[in-house]
Amino acid sequence: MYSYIKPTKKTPLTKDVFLIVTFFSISFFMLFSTYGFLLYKDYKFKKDIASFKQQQQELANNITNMKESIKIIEEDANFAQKIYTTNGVLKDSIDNLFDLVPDHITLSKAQILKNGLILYGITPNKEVYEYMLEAPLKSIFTKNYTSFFQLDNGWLQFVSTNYLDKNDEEYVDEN
Amino acid sequence: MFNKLFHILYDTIIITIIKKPHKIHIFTEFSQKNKVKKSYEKEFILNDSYKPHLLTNYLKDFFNESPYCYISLLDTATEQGAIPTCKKQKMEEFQNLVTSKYLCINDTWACYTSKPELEKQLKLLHDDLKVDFIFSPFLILSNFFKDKISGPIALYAFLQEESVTIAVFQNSTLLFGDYIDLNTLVEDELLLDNINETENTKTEDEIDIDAINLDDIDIDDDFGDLDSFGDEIADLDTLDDINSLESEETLEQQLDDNLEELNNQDDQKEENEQNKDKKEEKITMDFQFFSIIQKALGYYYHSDQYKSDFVENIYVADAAGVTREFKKYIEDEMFLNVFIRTIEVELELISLTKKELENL
Repeated sequence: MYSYIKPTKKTPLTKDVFLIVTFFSISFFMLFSTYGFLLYKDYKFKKDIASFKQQQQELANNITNMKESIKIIEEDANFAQKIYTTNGVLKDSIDNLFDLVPDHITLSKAQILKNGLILYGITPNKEVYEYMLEAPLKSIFTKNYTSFFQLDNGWLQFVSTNYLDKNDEEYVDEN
Repeated sequence: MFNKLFHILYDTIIITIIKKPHKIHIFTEFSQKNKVKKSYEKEFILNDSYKPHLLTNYLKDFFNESPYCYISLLDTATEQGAIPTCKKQKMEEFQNLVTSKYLCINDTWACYTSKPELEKQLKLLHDDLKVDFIFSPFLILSNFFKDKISGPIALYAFLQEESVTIAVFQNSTLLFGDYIDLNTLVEDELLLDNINETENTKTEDEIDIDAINLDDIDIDDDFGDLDSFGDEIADLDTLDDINSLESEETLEQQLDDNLEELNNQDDQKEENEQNKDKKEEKITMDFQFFSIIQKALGYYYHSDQYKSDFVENIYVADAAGVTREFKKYIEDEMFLNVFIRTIEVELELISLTKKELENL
């Protein structure tokens, strides 16, 4: 230190400069604030777009999955409908079958095949069987085979095997 | 950080004000990173037409150019000096510092100045302008001879038109310091003192002065001219037969010419007298400087307060423009080797100001 006194503090911030600096500071602050806000909004929009795209993709995937599910369900429904129809037909067939069986004949077992029917039962005699059961069976099936077995009480135990030809079967299936 | 930025944007302006009894000398330097860009110089003559606001307005223009504008003054207080110690108890042995402000330099010596006079100097400027630095002439002296004061013992003198600053340095340590304001000295006091002191030892100074006066007097030629002109006038007075002249107009013309010539000769005489006065003033001033230095050195040798040693060299910082006679006086009378360097006080003030600004 060489001087007897200390210098007055020098500052470039005079009143005018202070006013200008304040004005520019506020202006810059507002500009940067707006810029920051816009940057944030831009970022948020981009983020939302990415999110929406992801959701869109997920939804598209879901739609595809659902379409596949619908397809499967429709197939299942068709299959169920087919089964239901088949079962209905079968039920009607069984009903018809039991309607075919006269009161004199007792069925002990009935085996329904894909293209045939095997009936087990007892009949008081062969004529009752032939007239009352075999005749309707022959009208339905193309091939009929029947075998009898004599029981102790004089009745006959029979096994009736009936088949449909392939062409006939297709015809039946179609119906 | 902002401060550095603003320092790049604005120049540093250092204004040095050197106040003298009849004028105020202003030197202004614009610099940027220690590079001098431009400088201005102005003097205000302290006559009746001088108004303080002229100085203030002049300085205000610089303050408008840069906020980093500093005003430096050279301390011109009459009550100031330097002490070869920096310990307060010891300082009191040399000077009563109750009304003084002092600065310790390198913890080895101190310079002091009168507080009331310091306050008075600070009031030099008006309005909101304030002095930033006031430097002691001892610091100017030590800074100017910084390459010499670290050496063996020598006397250093800073000569200004209005003051003399004397210091004895040895190995960068001040051994003796004295400040003499020439305006406060009783006229011819020093001269008389010196004459009385040297009376018993055959006053060579007086002989020198006489010799110089005789050398410088060349009035004979002037008187010669005047005599010849006087003769011409006398010739005119002795003319009895005015009718012998060609006409009255010719006479009037001749009279006018003669009067003009007389006026010119008067002017020349005045100029010669002024030059002669200036020369005499210079010689008187040189002798005064010599006397002060001689007296101060004598005091240094004889005073018990100071650790005295034999001084062989004297280094003079000349701001007053001393003549060869001054060197001759010292060499002949004091048997010292004299080295004179011309000092530009304003540049030294700027140098010190820059040093201060570096430490801010």
